[in-house]
Amino acid sequence: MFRNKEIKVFTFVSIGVITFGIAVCLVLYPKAAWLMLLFSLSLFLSFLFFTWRRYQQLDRLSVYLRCIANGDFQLDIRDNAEGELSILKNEIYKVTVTLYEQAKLLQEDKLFLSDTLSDISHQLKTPLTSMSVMADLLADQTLPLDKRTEFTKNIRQQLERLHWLVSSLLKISKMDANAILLKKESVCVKDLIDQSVSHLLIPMDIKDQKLVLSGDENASFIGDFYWSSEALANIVKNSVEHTPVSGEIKIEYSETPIYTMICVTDNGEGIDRGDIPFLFDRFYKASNASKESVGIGLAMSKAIMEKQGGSIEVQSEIGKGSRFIMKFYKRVV
Amino acid sequence: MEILRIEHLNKIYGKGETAVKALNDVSFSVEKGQFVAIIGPSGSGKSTLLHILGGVDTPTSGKVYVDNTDIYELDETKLAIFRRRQIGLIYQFYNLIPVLNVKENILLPLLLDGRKINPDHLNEIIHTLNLSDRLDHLPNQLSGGQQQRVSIGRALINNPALVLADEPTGNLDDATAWDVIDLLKRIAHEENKCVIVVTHNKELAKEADAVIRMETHT
Repeated sequence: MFRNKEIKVFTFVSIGVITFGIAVCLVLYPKAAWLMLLFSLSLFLSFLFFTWRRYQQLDRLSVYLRCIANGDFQLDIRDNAEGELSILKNEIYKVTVTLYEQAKLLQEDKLFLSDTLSDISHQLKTPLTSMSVMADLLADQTLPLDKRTEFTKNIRQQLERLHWLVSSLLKISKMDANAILLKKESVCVKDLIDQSVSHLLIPMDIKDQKLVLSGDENASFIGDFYWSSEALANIVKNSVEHTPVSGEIKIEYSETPIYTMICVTDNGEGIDRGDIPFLFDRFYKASNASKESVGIGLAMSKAIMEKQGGSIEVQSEIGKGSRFIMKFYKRVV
Repeated sequence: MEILRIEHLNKIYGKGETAVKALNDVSFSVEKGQFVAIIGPSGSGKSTLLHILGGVDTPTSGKVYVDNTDIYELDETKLAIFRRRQIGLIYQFYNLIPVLNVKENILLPLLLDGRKINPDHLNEIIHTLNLSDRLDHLPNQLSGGQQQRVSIGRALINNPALVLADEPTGNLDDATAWDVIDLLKRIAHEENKCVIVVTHNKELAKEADAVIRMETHT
């Protein structure tokens, strides 16, 4: 305790004051001098004692922090008393808990990253292997023309698949890293739908599928037009792929005081109940997924919706069809 | 990380023939970052449970551990201070102090602790709750939704790990109710707090990560 500068200064000042007091007392009231000395010393010593006790508590805090630094987070030093020291203990405890949780989150992030990287590598390997095989086969000089055409077409398909995979992965990882700034502007739902389905009209036409749009033309929400159209396009693409020839895809949209909703309903093959909880997980392929599917379109739609404070859910029945409900919530706060 | 653990909680009001058993052997635990709803019909003991969790009412038997502290082992003073620092309480009828303005109502737990105000922390809370232009108003000059947001601010100012809300939307219209629930949910997820809400509104309970259902047995 006496190492503290303020205690040293205090001690000198106190001794000075006491000495001066005794001196004055000896001059004015000699008989009281001893009494004066006794009381002054008692006061001084009791103050030192309580100060010493306080410094012990501070020392205990240092020991606590050292344990935390060593990774031992189990201690609780809070003592629920009034006063600055107790508040200090409370605040230190809260800070150390926060640090501990952040460290844990960091670990989880690392694991997630490692898992994602291995997923990606796996996804890339498959088309690359396929193209490799094709290239080997094409190297054969004696290959008939029709085989040559078939293998070249195959390579082209794999390349398209790779292209889609890489660009989706890039988008989704930018979103993960919060590197994408979503705009907050008024989006007209009808325009959004028109934009999203624009490049799906041809595939729908090829499969002779009917597209039905219905809803309030004035419906709108605050969000990012480009990314929301990506999200919607992935949903509609999914419906187109899983709805047979001559099927129907219905897009209904409406606005309530709480949210703006877009519903994509198809009468296709439906989704198995066991797949529904995992449908929006990355790289998840449902039991009836096509060979070309990578399992990232729906995951990206979900990420985009959630980044805008919205939600997406699916209802489906095998053989009857599926319905995807996208909600853009309104915010007061 | 577990923040709340209840073990064999019992609460009996009254004695002998007029005794009413409000809670019967209740046990569960909740993690940080979870938004939990307690639902059940009127008289099933929801508010009793919440008050015991908040240290406002004492159980007849059983243990309540908040952040590994057995809160009913603490004496009254220590429990009051524990509650002030570790628990945020939100009520259906707001319970704001009518003679204090919005800023003072929010800062009340801090001022009771004799602490200095951290202006950044206060501004962040006020901004999240959208009360920046109402700081000098008295509670009777605010709408229901605004008053509830003030009481949420008061519950959060001390940065508690546990936030308890007793029918926070009972007195609000649907749209405002939704905003309050959404706010509480975000607080739970983004700030890793445990938020427990008592409600009789099943729609709102659907938003929770976990639902505890209370029933009455005669």
